[in-house]
Amino acid sequence: MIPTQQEAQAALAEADRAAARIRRSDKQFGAILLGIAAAYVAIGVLVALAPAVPGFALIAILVILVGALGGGVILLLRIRAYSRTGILQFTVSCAAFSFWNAMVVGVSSATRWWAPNQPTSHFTVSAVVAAIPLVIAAWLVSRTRG
Amino acid sequence: MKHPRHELDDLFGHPVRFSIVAMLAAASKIEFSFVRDQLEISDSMLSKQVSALEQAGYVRVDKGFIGKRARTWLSITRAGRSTFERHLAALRRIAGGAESVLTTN
Repeated sequence: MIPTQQEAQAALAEADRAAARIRRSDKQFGAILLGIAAAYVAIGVLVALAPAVPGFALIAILVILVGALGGGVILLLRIRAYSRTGILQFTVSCAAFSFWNAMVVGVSSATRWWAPNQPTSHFTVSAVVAAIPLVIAAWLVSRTRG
Repeated sequence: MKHPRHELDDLFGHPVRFSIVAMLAAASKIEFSFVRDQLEISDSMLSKQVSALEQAGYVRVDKGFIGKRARTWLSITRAGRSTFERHLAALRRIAGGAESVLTTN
């Protein structure tokens, strides 16, 4: 049976709604990226505190690492739908973060921004700078229409 | 000029099947329960429609376990995607008034 003009328009509208449902689901990747950024900055803060309270900082870092890893895995397993664009954005974001983080670590060491005579707060600043791509990526993912 | 109805696939004429394929066309993979919840249909209804699409070679079904929990993932095949894109193109022509133009000519 050939659809009428109105039926064809309704079907096209339904196809748009279906695509929007998937785009909304992709936004979960944004939450995961923000979670990684938060965990990374928190570790940066704790590393800065490490010389003052070593025992506490070490335990806290371990808790954050295990929590971030566990939380990330749970969130990834909870994703029930994703688009090719969504998973690509997530993968590229993680790769960009890894690359940028390596740059930040390299520059921080080479310029002696990280050195025994420097304030430990430099670790926190570096962690915040390193987390920038994750925050931008999370923002880009969350502003996707749908 | 060929009438757009020739590009329509009867399998997509069913509204639930159309919605399933429209979601799969926008996705890489979707879990069975997500489609069921979004389309507000029963498990059996979704299974029936997915089986029809799978038999036509339009949809792929992958089953797996995470721990003890079974999960079923649906994805669209290459044939399914190209057929659906042709179907959508035909619908766009009909929606744009191509049908009436061709009928009067």
